[in-house]
Amino acid sequence: MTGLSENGPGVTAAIPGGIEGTLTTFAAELRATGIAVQLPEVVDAAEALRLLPVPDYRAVRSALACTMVKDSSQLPAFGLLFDVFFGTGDTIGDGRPAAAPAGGVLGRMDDAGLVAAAEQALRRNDQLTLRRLAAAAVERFSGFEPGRAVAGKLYLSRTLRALDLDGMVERQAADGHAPRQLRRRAEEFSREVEAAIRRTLVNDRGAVAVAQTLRPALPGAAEFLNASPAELRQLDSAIGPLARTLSLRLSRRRGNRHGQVDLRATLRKSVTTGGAPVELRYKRARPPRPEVIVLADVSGSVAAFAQFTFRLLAAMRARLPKLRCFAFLDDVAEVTDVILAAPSLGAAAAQVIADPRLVWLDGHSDYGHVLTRFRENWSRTLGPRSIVLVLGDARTNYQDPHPEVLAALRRQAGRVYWLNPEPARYWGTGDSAAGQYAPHCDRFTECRNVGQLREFVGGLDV
Amino acid sequence: MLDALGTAGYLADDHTATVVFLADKLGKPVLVEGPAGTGKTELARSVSRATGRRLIRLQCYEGLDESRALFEWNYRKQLLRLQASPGGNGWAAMEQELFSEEFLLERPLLAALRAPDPVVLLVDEVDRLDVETEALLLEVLSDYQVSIPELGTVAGTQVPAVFLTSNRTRELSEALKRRCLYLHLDYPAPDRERAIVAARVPELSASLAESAVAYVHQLRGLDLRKVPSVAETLDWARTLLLLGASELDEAIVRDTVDVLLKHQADIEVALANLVLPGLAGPA
Repeated sequence: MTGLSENGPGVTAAIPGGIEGTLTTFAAELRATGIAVQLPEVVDAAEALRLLPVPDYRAVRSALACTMVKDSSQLPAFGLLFDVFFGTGDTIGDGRPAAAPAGGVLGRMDDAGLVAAAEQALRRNDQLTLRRLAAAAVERFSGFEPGRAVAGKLYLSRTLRALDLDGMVERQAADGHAPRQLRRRAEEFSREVEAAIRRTLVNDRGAVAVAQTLRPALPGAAEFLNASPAELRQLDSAIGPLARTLSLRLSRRRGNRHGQVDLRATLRKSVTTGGAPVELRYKRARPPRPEVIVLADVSGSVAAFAQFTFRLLAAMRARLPKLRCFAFLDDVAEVTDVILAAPSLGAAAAQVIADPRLVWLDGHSDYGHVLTRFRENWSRTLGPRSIVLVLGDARTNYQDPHPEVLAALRRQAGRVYWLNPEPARYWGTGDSAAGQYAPHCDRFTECRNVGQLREFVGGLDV
Repeated sequence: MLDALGTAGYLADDHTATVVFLADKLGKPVLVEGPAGTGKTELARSVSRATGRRLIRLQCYEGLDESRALFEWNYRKQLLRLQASPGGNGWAAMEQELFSEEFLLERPLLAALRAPDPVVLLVDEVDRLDVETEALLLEVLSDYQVSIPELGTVAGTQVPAVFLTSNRTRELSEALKRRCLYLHLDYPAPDRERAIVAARVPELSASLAESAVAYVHQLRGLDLRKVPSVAETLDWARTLLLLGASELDEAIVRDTVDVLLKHQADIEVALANLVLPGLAGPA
């Protein structure tokens, strides 16, 4: 196994300054990705490496992870960069031996034979062979061109297209193998292919250069509008705590932390101190119960954002008993009960999006009509304690946006916040009515990723 | 470290063992995060068992303050002392006496600092602390000493092994995170969970344990409100044992799935997707 001391073909040799130099460069690369590694943490990491009795791949990885990364959502990005920096040489991934260079049998196979071998290994779950095959497939199918500053996405898609993993899974599922397991193995295999491509890139251009082209995105920076379902699931861990804080901020009491002095309790307490009222007892202040009303755009243009919306709603629901949810396309309906009753988030989302009550004419979002309808039917429930939270891109499909209705709603409600998943530079272009709505909101904020949501929540001084 | 934890009944993976080892060598606290029921608290307990150190636990909650976390003067006893000798021997002497060891109530943090024997300090659910108390905790953890106005600085006789657990209900301060080693505990891989079941519920047959764990993993893959934790897997394994089940069949899953899932909606989803691992082809 590659120790850091015996650099071997690893990268450590390529960077001047030995372990310290490598760590500093590595930390700089982590920072460039958005993982805020601070100097004391780098010192800790160096110290930890010194203490390891057996500095093998996994121990080094553990030591660096626990000293430099303090947020679990950043671990995948860390893992990727770690592989780039320390994963070359004779160990990769989880520390099992890497593939031998594809000479021998694999090198002599024809293309179809290679694919067939992969299919067989996939069925048998033969991981060592799969790893060798991944390396061979990359060499064969990726069309690698040395010296090019690319992240390898093209190589990956070429290789995967040639291998046709989906086809393999389908063929074998038809033969009666469990599709779920097969799919998981196929995913693992495609990760092996990815790792093989990274190794090839690192061998070609060196770790630092490759890390700079890769720049893995942190989940906090993934955009809601074009996030994949897998990315959205990763967001869950970040959204949960934020929703709790948001709920807490929205329901935070104003003024005194406690209520009036409770004379009776104070006198009773004073008995223990010889009659002197040393400790004041307070009546429990009645916490204000704000009514939070969420208006969520669930139209196709913000489909991914709507997924995020549902996750946020479900997480807020646990903390805010008086949360009411409304969804809209070109008509609006209350969906609180639907979300509550649905067995899962996915089911809730599907049910809401298919709700016929949301369609008035053609089901393209029409903010003006929605606001008017909302005012007609539900504005009676608004009071000074209500907080209206609108989630949507404010694109009206060239209908009249009726900003005066929003203004009227704001006069009735305590506060109006608007979270817009569209980049601010597009606001006001085309059919966007962002400019007309913004003056009538207490906050009108760009909310494209978890980072911006966090900023919004942090900035709520209620 | 791995073996030591193993003998204490905790099956750690290599990463966990390395982090615990480094924390001990570096004299740093470990911040353990992860979903509920993955053995965060149990890790501290096991380290205590494995190293033979006493466990001191501080359970955090909103509103926990200095007097509950660090120390407090035993006010009533001081009053009694005053009343027992009215007019006594002058203020200075009295002050000396009143603010002495005798009237000090040790709370977990101070107890851990002043313990003569090596201890494990477990600060559970640190994310529920208020910001002020978190600052206090940081002060204690960075120097392992604390100032009590009347007594002077109390420095620890030894560096306790400290574990902080967090469910991430809020972000901890950067300073606290920087001070700690970070360990993320996730749901274990099937192999390891099988080993955990075997270690904790050894009476359960291996084949039943295997299909039970496989089923739990299948549940974790579903879109549920709350997926089953390791603790719930163990509960379920014990339930199966009590019922004398010999193998996992549909009837027994239907009868006992409420041990694993705590939402009616989740149970319905699980039963609707009920495919037993044994029937789904070779594992």
